[in-house]
Amino acid sequence: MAFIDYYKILGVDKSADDKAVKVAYRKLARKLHPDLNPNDPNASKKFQELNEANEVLSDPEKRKKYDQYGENWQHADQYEQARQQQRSQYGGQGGGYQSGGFEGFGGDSDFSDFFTSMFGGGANGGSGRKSVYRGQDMNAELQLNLRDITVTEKRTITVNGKQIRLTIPGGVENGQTIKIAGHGGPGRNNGPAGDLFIKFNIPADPDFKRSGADLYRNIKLDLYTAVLGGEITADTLTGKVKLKVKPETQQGTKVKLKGKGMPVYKKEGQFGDLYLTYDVELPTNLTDKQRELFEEISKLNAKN
Amino acid sequence: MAAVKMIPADDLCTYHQLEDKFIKALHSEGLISISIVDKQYCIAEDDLPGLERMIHLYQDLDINVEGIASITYLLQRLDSLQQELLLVRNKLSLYEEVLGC
Repeated sequence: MAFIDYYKILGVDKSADDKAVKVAYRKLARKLHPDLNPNDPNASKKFQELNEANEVLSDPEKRKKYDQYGENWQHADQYEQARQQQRSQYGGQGGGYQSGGFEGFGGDSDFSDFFTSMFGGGANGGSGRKSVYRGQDMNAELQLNLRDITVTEKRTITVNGKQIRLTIPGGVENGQTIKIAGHGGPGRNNGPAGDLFIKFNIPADPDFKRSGADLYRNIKLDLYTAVLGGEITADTLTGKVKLKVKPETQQGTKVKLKGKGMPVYKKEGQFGDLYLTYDVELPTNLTDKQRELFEEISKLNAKN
Repeated sequence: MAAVKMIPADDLCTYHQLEDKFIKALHSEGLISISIVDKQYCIAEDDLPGLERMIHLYQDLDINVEGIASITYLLQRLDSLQQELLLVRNKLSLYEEVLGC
């Protein structure tokens, strides 16, 4: 359990007076409040740390105790003994410290372990200025592939042993975070539960490149179909399509398949487009006859 | 159409230890919708998360109703910009992949 530097959290000197502590707290609270930092899964934690620092440094008794033991809080008994030895060595009056002075672990989930081990929990710990506590926000990541998000669908996932049914919006972006209200940690004293933030990780697809709701793909086109025209079958994300190829189709020609891209996020019934780029494949392992015919075409081409 | 659950404003005020004039002020500012059900002022359950955010700003940060209105507008813009940024980042990574960056 690590020491927490409350002065550093509030950005004040150890000599800061009550007014300075209050001003520092209010200034940071307006920056770090979770409602002013939407979709930031760390916002609640940072705000909680700030509140804890304020809880200690704005309370004269807690501050005194914190200042007295500081980084030596874990060895308070030995520290106190050493102080008493020093006092008796110099003939000073003994302060009379009761051994085992720290209250036990309060187990109060609203405060850090460091806080509860120094100040205890419940009535001994928090000031109780608000008796209703909102539960902690939680974070989770969900890995999906491109094919998983071609439609909006409901899915049941397990987070910290709890099953949660959520709606995965079609066309959701890689890195996007959604909030499931009330599915975070439980609140205390009838306080509301925290929220669950789920971040979607959608790695790059090997076949389709995505840009927003549009998809891009290269497809192979044999030389003969490219030159003479014809019909080919191409894969989209949701099935196959037949494509008419015009005669004399050049390498790199793009074809747009309207509405065959990804669903547009939060816009029911709207879809992006799929852009196919032809990669014309030159034949290999020609037979003698094929080579002969190509040479003939080459000669005709030279004459033209 | 699914029935919308309505929460009496008085119950909300009691739960959050608020004066009803705060709820009325939010309504005057156009920040929340209020319906009258069985002669009681009520708020739709779906609107609760937004209302509770405004209550937090008021109680935790001493922000007045005008400030809450400005913040609400800015948060909407922020949400829109964050979405746009995410799109742009993902597009950029596509180009970086093509260029071998």
